[in-house]
Amino acid sequence: MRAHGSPARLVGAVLVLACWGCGFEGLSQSESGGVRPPDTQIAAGHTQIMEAVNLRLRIIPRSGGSAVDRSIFDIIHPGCNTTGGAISDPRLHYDTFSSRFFFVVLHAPAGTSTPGAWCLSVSATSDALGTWYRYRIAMPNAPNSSGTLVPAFPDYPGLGVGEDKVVLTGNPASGGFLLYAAHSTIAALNKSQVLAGVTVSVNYFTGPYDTSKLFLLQPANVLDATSTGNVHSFGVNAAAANPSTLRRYRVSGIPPSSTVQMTAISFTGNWKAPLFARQPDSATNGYLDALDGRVLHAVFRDGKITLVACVACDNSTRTCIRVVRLDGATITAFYNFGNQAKDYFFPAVTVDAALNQLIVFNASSDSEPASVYITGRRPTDPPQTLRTPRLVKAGIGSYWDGRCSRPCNCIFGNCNRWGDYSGVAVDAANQLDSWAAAEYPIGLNTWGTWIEFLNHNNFPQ
Amino acid sequence: MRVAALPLLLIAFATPSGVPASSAADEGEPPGVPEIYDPALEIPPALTLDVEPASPVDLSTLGPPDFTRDAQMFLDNPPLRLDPSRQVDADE
Repeated sequence: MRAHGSPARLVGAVLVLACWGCGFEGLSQSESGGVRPPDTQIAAGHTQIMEAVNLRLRIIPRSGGSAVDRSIFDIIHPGCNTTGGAISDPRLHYDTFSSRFFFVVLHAPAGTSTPGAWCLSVSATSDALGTWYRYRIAMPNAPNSSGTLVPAFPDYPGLGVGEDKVVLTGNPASGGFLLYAAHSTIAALNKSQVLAGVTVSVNYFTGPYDTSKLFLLQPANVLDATSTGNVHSFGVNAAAANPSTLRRYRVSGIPPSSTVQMTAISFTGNWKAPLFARQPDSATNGYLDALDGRVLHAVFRDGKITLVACVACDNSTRTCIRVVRLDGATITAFYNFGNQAKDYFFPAVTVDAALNQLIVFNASSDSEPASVYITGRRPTDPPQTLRTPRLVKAGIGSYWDGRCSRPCNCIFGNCNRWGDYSGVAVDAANQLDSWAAAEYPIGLNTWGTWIEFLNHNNFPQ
Repeated sequence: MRVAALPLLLIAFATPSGVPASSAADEGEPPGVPEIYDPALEIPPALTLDVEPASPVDLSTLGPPDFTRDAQMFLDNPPLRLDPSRQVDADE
């Protein structure tokens, strides 16, 4: 017996296949155990669309029929389900090389004496409702502020699927805190072994232990055959007040014989942590936390990397999307995208088979609740431009998650949780189309998610 | 903690197709010139492990989902973001 989505979602799933750019409600807070934020992800396989949030999965048949909701615990390694432990931060990807769904979530065991892990699951076929292979990839110990190696879990895990390897990243954390002296950790897995569901070879990599360096690494999923061979991860030294280099970590070779090479790529300009995002009635309900300028999403297609973040812009008066394009180690585009009246935050990016870039993000202002927007650019558009954003779902109103006492004085750590990221993915069945999913408020204390189908004939104008 | 926002100026959305709502010039950030030190093998392989998978799970035959664990087992920390007070002035 399976749990079914509501009839409205069944209608939505069917409608999506027929319309030229439309969307429908995704998973909501009340359908996901009441936790926040959702960390929204989307993947479009050949036969199903899959959404992932904390801590729920929704699988929508493309041919119609009922959506199926499952707990994340239903597909992850049983070793990730421990008494007093926790999981969070799902990442989801449909790999067109293998026609499989890849899924990862962090596992933080109870206490601080047991190593955490990446919980990696891979569908055995293109069917997300069939068999899943389940791994628990332990995280190496990482240094605390005294330099002592201690058990840690991989916070904000990243998932990068290449032709022959799977790359996982994570920021070492313990006891609810980042280990500031630790470098982001990379685990490179043998993809053919993962696809076979057998014992997998893993290479771990970590950087120099230095209290002034902390790189939040985001791996780039490989989207086409011209971009194979390596999996690249990217980060900026967000621990610096104004970092000046983008760091690329290139994983080459096949585990257990993979290696990593780091390249520091200098850029001209700022990379500052974003401001909290404005929203209506923020004097009472507080702002929305837009995190710290980390690289949020990256993809690799046509031999070029596209990555996005959100940063402070306009003399640190608002928050913008940061877009960077790289050809090898050469920056070919580096620009902000914003609106003087609004904050833009939590972008996710993909590049379709026609090399069009598509970005989904949240925007809000003193008068506009957090809403879901789409923008993009075609290869022939003027350099360093994105098209006028299209509103795809308006937020219902101001949002307050109860973390701060009203009237909220938003400070580090108690501002309203939001994000922590959005999702967008090229459609495996037609790689000129894409699907996007992002959070929006459906009530003062409640989030929802919106899924938008982006037909290639309905590209942002 | 937030710097005061600019007055509401409905400027950006008046831009035509293909014109940036907020241009690079607006932000004063042209493309950077890369400075590469390569190879820089700062992160050699630390260790190699073989990892055993759990037995596969088949959702088509699995019983109904147990959603009761979800709220109990969510990592509900404050955001593990970088504390601005920990930021330093120099990149390197």
